[in-house]
Amino acid sequence: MPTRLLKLKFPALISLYFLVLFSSIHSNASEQFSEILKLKQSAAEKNLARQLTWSRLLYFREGAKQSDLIDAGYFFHLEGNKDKQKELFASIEAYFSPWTDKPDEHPICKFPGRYFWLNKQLELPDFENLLEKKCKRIHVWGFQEKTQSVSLMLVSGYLGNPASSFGHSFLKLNLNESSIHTSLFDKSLNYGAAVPPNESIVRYVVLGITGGYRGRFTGEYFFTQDRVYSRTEFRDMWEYELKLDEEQLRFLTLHLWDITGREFQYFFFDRNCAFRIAQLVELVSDSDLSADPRPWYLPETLFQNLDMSQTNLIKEISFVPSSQRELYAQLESLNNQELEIIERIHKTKSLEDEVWGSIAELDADRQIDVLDALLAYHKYLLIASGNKQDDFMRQLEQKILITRLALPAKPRQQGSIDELISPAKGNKASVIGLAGFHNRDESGSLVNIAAYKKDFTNKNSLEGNELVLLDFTFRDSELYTALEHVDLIKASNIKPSSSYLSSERKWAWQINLGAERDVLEEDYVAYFKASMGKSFYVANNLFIYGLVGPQLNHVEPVADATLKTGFVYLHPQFTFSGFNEQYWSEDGGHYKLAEGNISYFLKKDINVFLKLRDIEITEAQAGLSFYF
Amino acid sequence: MFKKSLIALAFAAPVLFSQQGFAERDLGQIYSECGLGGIIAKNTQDESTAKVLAIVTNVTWDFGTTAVISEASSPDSCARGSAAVAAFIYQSYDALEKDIASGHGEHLATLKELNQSGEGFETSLRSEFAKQVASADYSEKTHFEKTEDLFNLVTAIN
Repeated sequence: MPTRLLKLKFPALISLYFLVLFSSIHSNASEQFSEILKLKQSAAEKNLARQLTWSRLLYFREGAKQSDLIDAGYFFHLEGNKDKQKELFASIEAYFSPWTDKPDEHPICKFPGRYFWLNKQLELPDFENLLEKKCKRIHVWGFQEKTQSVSLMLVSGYLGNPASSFGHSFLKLNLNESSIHTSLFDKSLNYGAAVPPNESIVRYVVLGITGGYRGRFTGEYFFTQDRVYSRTEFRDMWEYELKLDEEQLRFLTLHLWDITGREFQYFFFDRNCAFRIAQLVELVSDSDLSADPRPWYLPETLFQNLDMSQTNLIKEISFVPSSQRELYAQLESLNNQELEIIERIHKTKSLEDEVWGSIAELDADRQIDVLDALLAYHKYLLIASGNKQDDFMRQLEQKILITRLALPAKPRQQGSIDELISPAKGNKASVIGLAGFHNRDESGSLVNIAAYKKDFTNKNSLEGNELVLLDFTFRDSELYTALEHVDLIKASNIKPSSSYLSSERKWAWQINLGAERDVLEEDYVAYFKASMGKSFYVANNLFIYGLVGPQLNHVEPVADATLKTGFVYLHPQFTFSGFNEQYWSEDGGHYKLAEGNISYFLKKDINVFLKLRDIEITEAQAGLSFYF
Repeated sequence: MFKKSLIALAFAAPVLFSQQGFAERDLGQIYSECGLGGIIAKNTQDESTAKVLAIVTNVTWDFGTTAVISEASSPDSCARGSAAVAAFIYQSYDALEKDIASGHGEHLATLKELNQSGEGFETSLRSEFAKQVASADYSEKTHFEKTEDLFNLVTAIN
């Protein structure tokens, strides 16, 4: 081609190239714009922004004007945490964001759960293909493919930590790994507050109640939870395996990718672990688990709601005993002589042959069982002492291991472990009681209202121990109508250990902060009482206890010494308890209170009781309690 | 050689573990690939222990969203296999010790599967562990050191 012609044609060719390119881009942009418009129109027609699932995806509680999420990164629109419609449209637009060299930063890869649901409603273009081919990290994580089922875990209450008294709950993904078949590597998801280390108790309480902490979901392997709850805090667990279909499972696991690490405001009483776990399950199952008319939400409420849910989500409930319970069952398999060996080693702190030699005198099979139990007990003592190892404990551990490893392998022996029913199957925590009373001077009625009441008279996971909060009793009679008594907090840990080792018989204790009406003075006396002592089983399900301690009053006499002796008989159907409490005040006064109580559950949440009370005069009370 | 500072990674309890044999990479590689060098715990005297504690207490592999991963040069390949095993041993040492002593138990079974070992694993492990336990300084070792020893022992068995 002649050079002059080439010179004329070249600019034209370049111009043509850019014209085609521009047209192509413009055409793509137009197409995309049309697509977005179409999707928005469809979303508007289907009223998706008002749908419950959309609200739940954005963590708007019912009736709330704002999302519970305080993490701005969860929303595409600046007002997305307040305006569900704007967030919906912004989500649709974000779907079409250009892909960069960091594909895992694309909205589809960051919020696969959100887009999974939107795809079901709107048929987003090429969603499954993009999720599969473009998003790398989620596939490396792989839990949406590996999850076989989901379980909700209920952890029993723990009086050793006030924040754990009401129990705990977390979610577990039961994985179908081809290489690992034990549950220890299942994935657990916890919701909790980010509490700085060494936080003072006052700040902890105040910030926990008032929303001063950030809360978020975090993931760990189940062996971490097992170590903390079962093996360190010695708490039982109940596993509720859920009945979710494949689509629900996929939606849930994809949404976990959306939400893990995102920040909420943490409130100890209501927007806590159980509440957030309830919201996760509600999202995928169309159930209503997070509802509770009370201003708090307990872990067991989640499981009670699950039980009552119309959607029938429970596949199976399994009891997971604590390591302490397993240890006690292991000790149960030993005879008295063998138990005595274990106790003697720890009491004498001797590794000499005269003590240790008793093991060698047993036949080989029994040696194995004793050594296994001794090692288990040793580990238990270490944990219970906060891992304080002195020289004896270190040397003992080595000696046990050397001796045991020289003997053949054999599965550890243990007695049977009674399967405890889930606390959620027991009665609910709040109560209203109505009773009539009669004594030689008057008759009348009593009304009892308690925000949280787990005591001897009801079925609860504290197994004969007590935790009572905000318990009010009002009295109406010919003589007066008034608040008779209030327990702001009452906690008892008096049930004896079921271990066969005498060294496991711990101190029993009781604390009580409250106020009562002084009938003579027609005034109230506020008090704080703390006592300690011992308790023992005297027969099956029957134990006795004795406690001593001071009571401090806000009026004269300021201090009393108290002695309380009592018994508790815990039958599956009824409870029979009684106590005698003596007070010696600093001004020389002495008085006593005696009480006997029998209560029977007519139905799960309705209890009938009969009480005889003797303080100055004897009074009989009979009534009904309704738990809710 | 199991460097003390490198066990820091192990305690991150990584989310993922590989189907490959878990001793396939040097822990030094894992440590640097996972970008853990910048995390130092405060209030500890020994820097290598501080690193370990920092990882144990600060890093949770939250479905791949933890900030640490963003520092990783190879986030998707870090925290596989070896690291998960080491974390498991560290956190479950007491339970593992009981299982190894008796030759049975869920923790031992898990370790066997992680190691992709066949028959004879428990017997070999018991035998080697017995030698470790019989050493003169065993009772003086820290939890960390015992974990390190057991990890090395397990990785040597196959």
